[in-house]
Amino acid sequence: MSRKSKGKYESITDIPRDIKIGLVISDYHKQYTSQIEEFNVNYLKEQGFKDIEVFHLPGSFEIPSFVSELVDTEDYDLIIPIGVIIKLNLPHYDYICAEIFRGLMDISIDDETPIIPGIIVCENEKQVKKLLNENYAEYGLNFLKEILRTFD
Amino acid sequence: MSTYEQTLKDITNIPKKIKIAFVVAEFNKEYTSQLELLNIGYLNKQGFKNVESYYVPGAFEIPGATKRLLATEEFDLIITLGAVIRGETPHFDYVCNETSRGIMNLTLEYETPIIFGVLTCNTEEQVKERIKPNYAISGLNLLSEMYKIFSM
Repeated sequence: MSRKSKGKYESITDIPRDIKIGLVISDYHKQYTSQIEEFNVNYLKEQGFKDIEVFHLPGSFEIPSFVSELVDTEDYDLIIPIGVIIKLNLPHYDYICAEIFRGLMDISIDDETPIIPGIIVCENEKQVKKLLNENYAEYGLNFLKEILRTFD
Repeated sequence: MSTYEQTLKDITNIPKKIKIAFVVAEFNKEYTSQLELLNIGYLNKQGFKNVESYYVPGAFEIPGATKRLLATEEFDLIITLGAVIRGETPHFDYVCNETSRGIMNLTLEYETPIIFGVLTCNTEEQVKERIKPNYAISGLNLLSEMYKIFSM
């Protein structure tokens, strides 16, 4: 992205604090997703974002359709999905994961609202435990900043 | 071994009169009919009596049948059930791929919540471990969360 920059939106601190952020959390493996949720919500609050709405879904497969409905409301400036998938040794998860990422990609191409793929896919719980402090909020804000800088 | 159990959340915002459809694949019927009975039983126990089942020969026919049900606009929740077990040929991969893709497309295209209850496993043992009322619970949880967006 190298369109003209007006000097605004050089960093996350330049993003208006009144934007509305939606978090869509999968409750599958809730012991982990709730920790990631807490970490990310705290980060957003520390950064001064107050308008945060959190939704809980049964699993990650439902994330794309729910995100798509949220996008359609046109109320949100940034949507952060969060899910944990532990693949075990079951082909089921190959198909689920492939379709979740495809679904999110389809939405991110069709719609303008920034969406990030905050879904952790692991082989086992040990790998998940290392990733509980993934800062998807910061990742999303950086993406939003770049979009604002380029197109606003 | 999957020990994951879904827990029902507060679903008081769902009217008991809603219409729920099951789309059940009859391939590996001994498992899918158990899944059907268990999940319908759970819904009935929660007070949801307006439940109908539709049968298709295999998992591959689920997306097509689901689309027809969605087109009637009569249903508030659709739960798909199937059990695909890997055989000796790569057939399994293609069936699972396309079934998952078809259902994901429908979840993005329609507002009606759809639950992906198609088990795609390597062995019968893996299927047996997963005969649970999880799909009914997921469906109710999802619908309850969906109502939150529509009421905004």
